[in-house]
Amino acid sequence: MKLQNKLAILADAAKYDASCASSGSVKRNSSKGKGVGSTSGGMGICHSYAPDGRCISLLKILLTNFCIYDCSYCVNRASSQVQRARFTVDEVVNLTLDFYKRNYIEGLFLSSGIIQSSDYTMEQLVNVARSLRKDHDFRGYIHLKTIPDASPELLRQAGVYADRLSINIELPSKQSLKLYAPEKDPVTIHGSMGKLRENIEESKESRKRRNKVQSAAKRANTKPAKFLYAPAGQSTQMIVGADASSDSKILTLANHLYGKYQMRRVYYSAFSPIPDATRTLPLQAPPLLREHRLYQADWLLRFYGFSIDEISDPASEQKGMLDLDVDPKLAWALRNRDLFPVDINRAPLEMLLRVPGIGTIGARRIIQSRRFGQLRFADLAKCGLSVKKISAFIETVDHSPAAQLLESDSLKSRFVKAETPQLSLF
Amino acid sequence: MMYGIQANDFNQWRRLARGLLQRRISPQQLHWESPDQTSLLLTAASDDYLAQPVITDDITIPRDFFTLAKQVACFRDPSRWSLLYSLAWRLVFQDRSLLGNKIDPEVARLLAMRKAVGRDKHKMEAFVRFQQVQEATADQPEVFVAWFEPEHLILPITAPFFAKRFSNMVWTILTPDACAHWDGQQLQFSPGVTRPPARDDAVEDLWREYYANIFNPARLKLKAMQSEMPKKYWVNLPEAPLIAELTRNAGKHTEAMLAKSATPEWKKTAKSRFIKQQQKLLRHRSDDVDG
Repeated sequence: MKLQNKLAILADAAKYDASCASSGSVKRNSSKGKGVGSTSGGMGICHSYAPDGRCISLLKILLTNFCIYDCSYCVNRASSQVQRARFTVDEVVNLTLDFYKRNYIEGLFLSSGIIQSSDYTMEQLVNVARSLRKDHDFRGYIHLKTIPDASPELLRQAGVYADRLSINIELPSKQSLKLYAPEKDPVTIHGSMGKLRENIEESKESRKRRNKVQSAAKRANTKPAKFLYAPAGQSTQMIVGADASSDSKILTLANHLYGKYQMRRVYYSAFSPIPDATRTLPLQAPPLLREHRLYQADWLLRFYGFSIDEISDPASEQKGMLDLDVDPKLAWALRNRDLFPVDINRAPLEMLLRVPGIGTIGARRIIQSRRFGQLRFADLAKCGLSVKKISAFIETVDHSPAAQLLESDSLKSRFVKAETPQLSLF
Repeated sequence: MMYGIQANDFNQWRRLARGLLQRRISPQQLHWESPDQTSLLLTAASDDYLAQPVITDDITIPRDFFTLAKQVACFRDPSRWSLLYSLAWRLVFQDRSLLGNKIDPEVARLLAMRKAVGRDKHKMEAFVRFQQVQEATADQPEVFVAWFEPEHLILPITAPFFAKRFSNMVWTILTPDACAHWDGQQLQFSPGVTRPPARDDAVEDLWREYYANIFNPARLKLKAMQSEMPKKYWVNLPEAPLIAELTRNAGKHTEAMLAKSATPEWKKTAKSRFIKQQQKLLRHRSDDVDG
């Protein structure tokens, strides 16, 4: 099969993985090296965008889409009639380098269907990463999908070459996994996530130690060895809407994964219709808006100091589902009106962050700017805030929202557009 | 007394500003120009201010300001020099912490310019597309060329990014304002050029194949794409000509996919004893644990 045809099949097979991030690794570049590549240490770069609005940062492909697993939501499941292909290690290495040198990509995101055995498959993935790093001194970004059943030694090697590792949790409950992905085992998935965490922490410790003793060691010329392992950490993905799990259940699991395995990101992927789908799947895809609300809630958990109970309540009227009409922060504010209005000139950072329409950047700007004098309502637009959204929830020297507005039943309707923008399929 | 001052780049502006601040020549006494525009209102030649006595020898400006100013100096608008001087004046003689006041109109303008320059730089790092013009030989590395039209004068602050990323390639980036050349050792600049004739690079076909296939037609979101990748960049992107067709066919594709009823199990899997055996093993491995 021609390389171009393989690429078509194995890119198509990889597109249902939401992640394409190239961020959060260490800083490095190719000067004093033999190859190409650099990473910023912070944000990655999106080199293109597909018409689906998604960032294209990495060459995201499968090594092969042959697979012995039969996960019903997956286009590559064993029983699917989709066309199959397999890259050689060198083909992936050369594609990555050719694309990288033309500045199309930040690096490679390599995953694979499971062939022969988990260890065999994982070894192939590791071989690609090793060849890029060792044979070509490639210093760009590498994300390896990790096969949860692979041996600890292979997991260990993977992280030595990769910036990021990920194991998909796929579905939020054990029962769903048994039903839709019968070959996957939650115990093994969690076990491997734990292994990755241990390795990542060991690496962090070794880097810390090394930095600490650096000056003394420089003189003695005996730097302690550095163990670099997946410096951009690990991430995972959950499919939303293929099973009946509520948002509350999904967020509770995400919160647990952030805490227990120090996940850098949990991706939510609205179940997307796939060619040649099985009958066990729902016919209707969930609205993309649901995925969007989950990301917003995820952000509130990680950067805004919200706890899971504040965002979603499994016992609520919506049965643990997030409100699709308004974002989760606004929904929280509408449920907790007695805490408003918030005084922009006095409120602490934690409270500013809870005001609908104030983000982390806006909150910091307010705190910085109010040192120079009392902020007036007109100043808020200059801090980059959406004045329309915040006006009901804040007060300044020259503005306070009408008391009846905060208490009014119609407050919510101010924020819901006449036609709710249901992001649908077409 | 009014002085006309001409600045070409950041370092020159910085030198001039120091001399002017030392002499306490206020922003109102200055008319800043860029080389591309000559004013008829000149009241004094460029270095006349040197005749004024130095009042404060030791001028200290917060370091943050210089980091900011270096970027703002790339903003394509002649008013940047007078804005920078006015802020430098206020930082030195009025309020050293001025930059923290994000709602001050001049600070806000400075930050808006920095943001525009930063975005332009980021987009250039993303959307420059190299083409291979010479393959590697035994003693020669590969050679690449790119054409790009930045909105602001950012080539000098952006070229080092490419030098660090592609240190072991030989490359040139051509822009209308200036060109950057990297020979594997050193970065050099030359005057700008006009758009070179189009060339072919076979890898672009592979890239287009990838682009077409990584796109999920069931999730068409054109607006989101265009807000991050505005049309003005499309002219240099080899994948951009595909966008119209991919978009047009997205609905059709998805409908056809949904309409197709489930097909029987793939024969090869159905027949494979190995796969069945593996699946059975995997499905029952945790039975003991679960009870």
